[in-house]
Amino acid sequence: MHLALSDPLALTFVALGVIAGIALVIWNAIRARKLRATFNELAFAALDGRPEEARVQARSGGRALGPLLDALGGKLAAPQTRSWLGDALMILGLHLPAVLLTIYATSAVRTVDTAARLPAASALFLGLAVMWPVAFAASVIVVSQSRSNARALRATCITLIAKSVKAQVDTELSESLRRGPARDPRGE
Amino acid sequence: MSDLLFYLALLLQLGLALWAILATLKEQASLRRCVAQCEDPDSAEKATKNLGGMQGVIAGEMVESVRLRSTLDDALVKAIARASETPWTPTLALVCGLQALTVGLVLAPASLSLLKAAHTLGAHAATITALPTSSRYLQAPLALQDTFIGVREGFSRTAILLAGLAIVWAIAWWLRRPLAREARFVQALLHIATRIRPGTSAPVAARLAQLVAPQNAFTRPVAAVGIWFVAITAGWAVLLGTASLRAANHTEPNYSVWPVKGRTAITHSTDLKLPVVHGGVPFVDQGLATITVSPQSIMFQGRAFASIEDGGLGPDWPPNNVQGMRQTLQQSDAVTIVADQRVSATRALVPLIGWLKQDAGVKHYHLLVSRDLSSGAAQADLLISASQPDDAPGLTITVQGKQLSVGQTRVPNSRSGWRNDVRVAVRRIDELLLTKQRRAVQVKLQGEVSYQQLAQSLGAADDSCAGDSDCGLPGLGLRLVLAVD
Repeated sequence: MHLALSDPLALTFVALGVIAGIALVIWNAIRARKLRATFNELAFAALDGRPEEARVQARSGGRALGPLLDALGGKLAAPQTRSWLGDALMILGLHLPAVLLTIYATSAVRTVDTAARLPAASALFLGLAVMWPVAFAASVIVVSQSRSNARALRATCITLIAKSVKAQVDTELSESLRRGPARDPRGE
Repeated sequence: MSDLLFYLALLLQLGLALWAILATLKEQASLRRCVAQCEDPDSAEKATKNLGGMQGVIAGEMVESVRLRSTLDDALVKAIARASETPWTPTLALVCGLQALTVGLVLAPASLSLLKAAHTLGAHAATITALPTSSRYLQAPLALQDTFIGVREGFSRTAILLAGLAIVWAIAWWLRRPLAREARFVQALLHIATRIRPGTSAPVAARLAQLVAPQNAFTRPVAAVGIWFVAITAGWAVLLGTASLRAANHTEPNYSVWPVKGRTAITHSTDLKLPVVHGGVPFVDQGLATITVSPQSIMFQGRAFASIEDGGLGPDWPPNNVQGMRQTLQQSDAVTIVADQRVSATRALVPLIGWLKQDAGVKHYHLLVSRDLSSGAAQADLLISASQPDDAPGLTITVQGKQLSVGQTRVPNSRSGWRNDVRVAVRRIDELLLTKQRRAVQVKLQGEVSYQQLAQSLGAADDSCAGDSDCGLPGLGLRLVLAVD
């Protein structure tokens, strides 16, 4: 196995892939926790009678808080689902070191320098054997974290939407009471 | 180990799929039973206790609120909000751990085979690089063959497991994802509410349920599985398209072939057909004098200097006025002969080589052949010498019209598999292949032999591939000596 470890550039790609996988999972977990805290804080502020303050904070919180902003604004619609684009970009980023290693090792294998071919091929095999499971596992964990986060956001939105629905139903009820019973035009 | 992991992963996938289906059926039956048992708030309280888990807690709280004279609408809204807050899955850490384990098991066959390949390369690197180049090409595939077959098997197994994973994921997504479970539960809550308080309106809960009810159509998972299979099939097609060469040689041959550019440098008639054989090393030397033998004439640098009749030398042989050509040839170490496959080796090629040796002192000849690789054609040559070697030949090959003698072995060339017999007979003699002081192979012609037959016979002897098809490996590099006297 020492042959595979003799190529420093290939080793760098492998280390980069493993570190990127672990770092992205940790970063995503921290981000998810912060976002959840923000959802709860904003929902509490809105239910506590400070909807304007919650709306201002949600507006400055970025696109992740978009559905919450809609719910705070009283929009009576199902909470928007989270875009998969961000997750897809993260997954692409996770697989990038493996792609770079493949390109590097493939070009090294095709050079005329026969002495460099075997270490490059060996490093490619070892690198893919390590990086592939790490990148895939990190990808599914990132997707799971995002889905869990999206679910927490949806729950907060539903709490706020329920309040808006109730307010609208009450308004409609008082409006119909104010108008009185509807007359049957056939009786006139 | 790899087998065990593969079958373990298959079992895990089967277990997950069965669990997803059975757990859903059980949950649906339990919800139906609960709804059926709810006739009033008292009976509903007992029924909801049987639900268990978060479903039992939420439904129980709703029934309890109704019993305590809270409005049905408020209780239902609260229950719907609680249902949306429930994760409906085990803890995130457990889910992530299970998913990482599943992915690890699915990718294990490919990863283990790659690790084994890296280890094998390292173990054989010193031995292989110490060999001479031609032997390296011969020995390396033998040493690494099993490992690369293992890599192929590992990737096949991972592909099967990935396909299985796609199906399991689609089933789980359709039946067990939190939104689907929430939708089923909210529907059951609405049914319970209508049964325990018939005729009571719940406008807020109804409108909220209508707004947030998730769609549980089967189209999305089916589309996702379709895309997944298309991606896997595309990857498989790419691998298959490039596998014929890599099956035996993991890199495409990137040696120089002749001519690199300016293919018109050698002029010969368009109907000239080179013999196609498996053997021969790639032709790389571009600075050689070239003689072209077409079915009509013999040319040097594009000018005919002798005629060919009926495959043999014409009546104008030996040629006159070839002083300029003779001078050029005398300065060359070797001559390239591009001969049509229909030309007679006995009546044209051997006399031509004899004349070149006698008149111009040329000792070495490159007989050009064509190698039909899967990735394209390559010009290769059979390097043959016309002078007797200093040492005794290690083997004598006698080419006749209908048979071939390799040492003491007689091989009729009408028999299928004759190439393999020739290969086996040559490889049995180590002195021809692996030592630095290679022994020569004496080539004799008896009777009428066409250039095609000669090239095929020598190509079969020089072939370094294992099977009958051309695997892309260069030839063995035998020291062929043609008897011209």
